[in-house]
Amino acid sequence: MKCIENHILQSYMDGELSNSRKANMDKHLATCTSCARRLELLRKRSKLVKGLFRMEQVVPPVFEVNQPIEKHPMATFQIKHILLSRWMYALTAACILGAVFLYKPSVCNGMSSQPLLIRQELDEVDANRPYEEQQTVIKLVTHPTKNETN
Amino acid sequence: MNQLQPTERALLLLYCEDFSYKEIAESTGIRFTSVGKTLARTLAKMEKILKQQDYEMY
Repeated sequence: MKCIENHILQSYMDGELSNSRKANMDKHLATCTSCARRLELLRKRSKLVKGLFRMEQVVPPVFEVNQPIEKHPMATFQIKHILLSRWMYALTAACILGAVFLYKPSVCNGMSSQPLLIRQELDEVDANRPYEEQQTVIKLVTHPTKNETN
Repeated sequence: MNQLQPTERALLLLYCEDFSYKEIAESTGIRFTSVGKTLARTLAKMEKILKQQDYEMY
């Protein structure tokens, strides 16, 4: 004869009973071995079924590389290719620098042969006068002196 | 699993995901007071099926 029915044991196992009922169950299970044994079987069954349904998480093993990684020597054609490309880069850089310096020759004290300064001397400025009557003198200074640049 | 009813299958799945009886009742449409009974019955059925299939755990 069953003391407690299986579904009540199941509810007790899942923690779905009220506190008072749970207390009563605890008292009963302490004394009744057959109910305790059935509870254990129910627990085992639940655990088994849950284990079947849940996905197992597989932890991949840790790989330890004890051997040093060998560096394979480069083939001859690879070395030649690298050297050639380095020479090409150096030559290109030299050509670019040369072109820059040739295009901008003699930078002596910051002066060049091109006209640097356009000076406008204004004797009398009258904006109402026509342009031809303006008293303006324009000088092109090709090699300004230090005083003129200041 | 194919030998179980859809409701039983859903019940087991929710139970295995640690849903409470109240949540199981709401999701499956089973009455709250009947969840325990249905669950116990379904688990017993599942155990029987596994034994019939000679599951390795047995």
